[in-house]
Amino acid sequence: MSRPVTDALGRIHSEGPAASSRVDDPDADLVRRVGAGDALAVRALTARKLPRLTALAARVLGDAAEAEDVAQESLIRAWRQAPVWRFGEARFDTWLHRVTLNLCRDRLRRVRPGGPQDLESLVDPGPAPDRGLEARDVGDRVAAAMAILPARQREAVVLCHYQEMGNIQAAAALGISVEALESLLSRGRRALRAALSDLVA
Amino acid sequence: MTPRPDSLVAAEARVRQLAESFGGDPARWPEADRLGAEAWIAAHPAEARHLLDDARSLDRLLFAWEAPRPTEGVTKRVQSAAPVQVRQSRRRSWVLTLTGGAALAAACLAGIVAAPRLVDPVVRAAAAPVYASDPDSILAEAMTPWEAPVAEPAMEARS
Repeated sequence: MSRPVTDALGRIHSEGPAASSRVDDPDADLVRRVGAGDALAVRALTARKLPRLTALAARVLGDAAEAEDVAQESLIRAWRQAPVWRFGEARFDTWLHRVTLNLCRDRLRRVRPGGPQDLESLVDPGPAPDRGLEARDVGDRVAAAMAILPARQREAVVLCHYQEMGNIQAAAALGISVEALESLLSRGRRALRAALSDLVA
Repeated sequence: MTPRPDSLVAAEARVRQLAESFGGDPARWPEADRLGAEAWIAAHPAEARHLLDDARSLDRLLFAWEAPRPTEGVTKRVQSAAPVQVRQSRRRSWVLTLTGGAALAAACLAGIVAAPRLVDPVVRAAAAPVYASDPDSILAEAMTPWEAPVAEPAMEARS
C-alpha cells in the first residue's frame, strides 16, 4: 500500500506504486477560474473557505478577532497562489489549511511565548444569546479543555473532528504521517475525556 | 469458554483504536479501515455499541463548542483584495517566465559565441596539425623514414 507524504509546501505525494497518481481536488475548477480573474469564482471560493478557515484559526488560537485576521491573510495568499497553482499535486484545501496553521503558529509564538497553557485565559467562543445557558457553558468548558492540549494534539483534533478532514488530508496539512496523526488524536481525545469527565455521559 | 480467534481480537482492538482516535462515527474513520471495521461492528452489535457509544458521548460534547462566523467586513476585504492579488501574481509569473526564457536564450547564445575562444591555447596548439611549408622541409620529412642507418665500418675491411 502506498503511504502519503508531504513536502515543505504541503503538496501530497505518494510513496510506492501509486506515486504517479494525481490528486483529485474538488476545488480545482474554482481555483482555475479565480486564477483567470473570474469575480464570481472569487465570491464562491470565499463563501466556501472563509468560514472554514475562520473556524480553524479560532479553535487553534482561541481568539475570534485574531482568527479573522489569519483567515483573511490565508485567503489573500490563496488569490496569489491561484494563477500559478499546480493542479494535481495537492488539494487546494489542504494547502490552505497548512497556510492557516502556519500563520496561527507564528502568532502563538510571537504573542504568547509562554506556550499553550497561556491560551486558557484567552479562550473566547463568543456570545450566543440564542442558545441555552447550559449549551454555552458546555462549549466554554470544551474550549478551555482544548486550549490546554499540547498544540499538535489540538491541531489534530481540530482538523479531524471540526474541519472533518480525512486522515490522509489532515496528516498532509500537519506535515506528518497518518500513524503520527492517529497517535496525536488518540492522546488528544483521551486528555479531553479526562478534562471533561464530569460531562461525559 | 472457547478462545476467540486472533483475527477477531485484532479486529476488535482496531475498532477500539479507531473510535478512540476518530470518534464514534465510522463514516469519519480512515477509508482503508472502514470496511473491515464495519463488518466487525455488524457481526458484534452489542460489543460495538458499547465501544461506539463511549466515543460518541465525547463527540457530542466537542460539538457544543461553536466557532465564530466571519463578519461581513472581513468577507468584503477578502473579496476586494482578489483582483489586485491575482493580477500581480499573474504579472510576476509572466515576468519570471520571460526573464527565465531570456536568460536561457542569452546563456545559449553566449555559449555558442564564446566556446571557441574558451579553448586552452596550449590544447589548441597541441591539437592543430603542423604542416611543413618549404620544399626542403617537405623533402626532408618525406625522406625521414627511408634514411639509411649510418653503420660502423666493418672491422675486417680495415684489417
